[in-house]
Amino acid sequence: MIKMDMYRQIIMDNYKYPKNTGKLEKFNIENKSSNISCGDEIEIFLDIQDNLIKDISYLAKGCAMSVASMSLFSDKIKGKSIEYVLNLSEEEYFELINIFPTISRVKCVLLGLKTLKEAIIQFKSQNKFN
Amino acid sequence: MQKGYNYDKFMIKDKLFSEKVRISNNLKKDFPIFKNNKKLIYLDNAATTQKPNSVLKNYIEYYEKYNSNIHRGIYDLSEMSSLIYEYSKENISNFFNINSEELVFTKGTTDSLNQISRMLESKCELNDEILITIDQHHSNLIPWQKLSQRKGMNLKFVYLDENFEIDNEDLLKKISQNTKIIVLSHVSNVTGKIHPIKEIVETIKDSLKIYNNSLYFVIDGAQAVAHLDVDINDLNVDFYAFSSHKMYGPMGIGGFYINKNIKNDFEPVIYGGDAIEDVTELSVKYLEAPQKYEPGTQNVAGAYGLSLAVDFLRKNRKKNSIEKKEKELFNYLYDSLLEIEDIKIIGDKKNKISLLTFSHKKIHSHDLSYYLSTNNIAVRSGMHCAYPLYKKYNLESSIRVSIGCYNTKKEIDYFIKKIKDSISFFNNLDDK
Ligand SMILES: Cc1ncc(COP(=O)(O)O)c(C=O)c1O
Repeated sequence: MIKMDMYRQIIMDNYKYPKNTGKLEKFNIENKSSNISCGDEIEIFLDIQDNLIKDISYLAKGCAMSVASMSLFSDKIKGKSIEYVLNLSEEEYFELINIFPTISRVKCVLLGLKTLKEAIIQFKSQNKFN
Repeated sequence: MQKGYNYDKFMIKDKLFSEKVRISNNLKKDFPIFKNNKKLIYLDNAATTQKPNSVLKNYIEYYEKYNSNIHRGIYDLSEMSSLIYEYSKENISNFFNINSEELVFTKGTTDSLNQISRMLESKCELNDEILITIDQHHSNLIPWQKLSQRKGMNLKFVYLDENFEIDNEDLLKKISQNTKIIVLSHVSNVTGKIHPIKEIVETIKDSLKIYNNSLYFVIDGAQAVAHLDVDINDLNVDFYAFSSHKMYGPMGIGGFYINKNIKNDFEPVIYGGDAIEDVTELSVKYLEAPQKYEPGTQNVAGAYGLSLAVDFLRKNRKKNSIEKKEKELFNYLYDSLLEIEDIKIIGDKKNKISLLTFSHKKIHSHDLSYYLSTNNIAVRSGMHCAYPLYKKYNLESSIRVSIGCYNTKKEIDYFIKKIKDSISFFNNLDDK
């Protein structure tokens, strides 16, 4: 049975008042990704220094699950290395943000991770020779 | 009808299968899904309908009593299977007022439309034009995109008016001497709008008559067949595709109508046994349509299941006026939703089947429909396999409610109540 438990208070809080939103003043990579079928969209801005995520912000438009996941995630990865993010499995990601979506909502929750990984891959390919 | 068949055996069909097609005022009772899911409020009938007892039980009974391959064995079982298959085709054809020689079985609408687009390929030339309305399901769009790319044709879109009905002016502007294929949906799976196919066909034929070019009209009937009394013959089209599972029949079968005047004009898309008259080392001669387009082992149980679904619809339309009941529920649903603040329904109330799609100004459709699902209400949310339509008109991801023959006013009341609850659940968070 599908229950409303997934929408715990912390998720609703992060949906209504997402943390770390906006556009960073100083960033060296940005990436936008979307779930076309739901119209969800996240644009991420990263300030990466010495392969560490020094700062992160984003603009998110979408359902409670996608926005809250991004908000919680953004809090957890400041200071982490880019390799850490690239190696994060879906299960580890769900545990990290403590959201365990039902099958139909997996895509919503994963959008943040996907957008961030894409950004880092872009960053790496642009900075290959540095 | 297959020539030379003796249907007498099948005329005693009441004795062949045990489960009768029921007519009932409480149709829910005839659908086992509701016995197994007591609280289920199923409002996603446009995605697929539930199946009545007559379809389910006899489907299995076919395998238990008559299973054998058709048109091959000379033994009793195979004869019986062939009869069941041919009878089903005849019965389904009657339902659509077409000749059984004009009905090709496929896996469903998607399969049909893909095959039709391939069949038409050899009739198309560079710079020919395909005219298509913007409100297509992806399965009636991508095959035409691909065909136009393969052949260097123009794919021209016809847009909609403010009520999401086909804009006739735009249509007339876009037809030309080069128009070859016209692709329409009978009913949109997003807006629920019923398009006046017959009138559109007449208009186009009329204005292109001076050129005397050969035109092909292809209609996607997936959303029409369960709700309208579709007389394909009267529409004056060349192809009409549909799926069984959206009209109370089993999944895995459907078909398309192909007009008898052109039915043998095409190369089949799929090759194989049972569709050929003669084969030599280097050549093949096909049987006449529709067999030429139905190679390989056919879905006999599926065909019979669809035939029973057609019986179910026919009887319950006549004796139980399900169309009228669905319409009343729809009107009630539409009016009730309209009263809720910040809800926007796509397209006005006119010319719709019992289907509508709406969004809330502030709350994402996934959040709303998730809340509904926790209350056992099944609806669909998203962009309903029609991205170009959503993009063209800047529509938001939205919730689709589609009514079937078993839904009740009580269920609609419950749905409306839960939508309101859901809105306050998400809205009240602001007041913390
Ligand atoms: C208008 C329309 N066309 C085509 C299809 C595809 O039908 P099927 O999935 O049965 O092939 C659908 C089903 O959602 C539909 O609504």
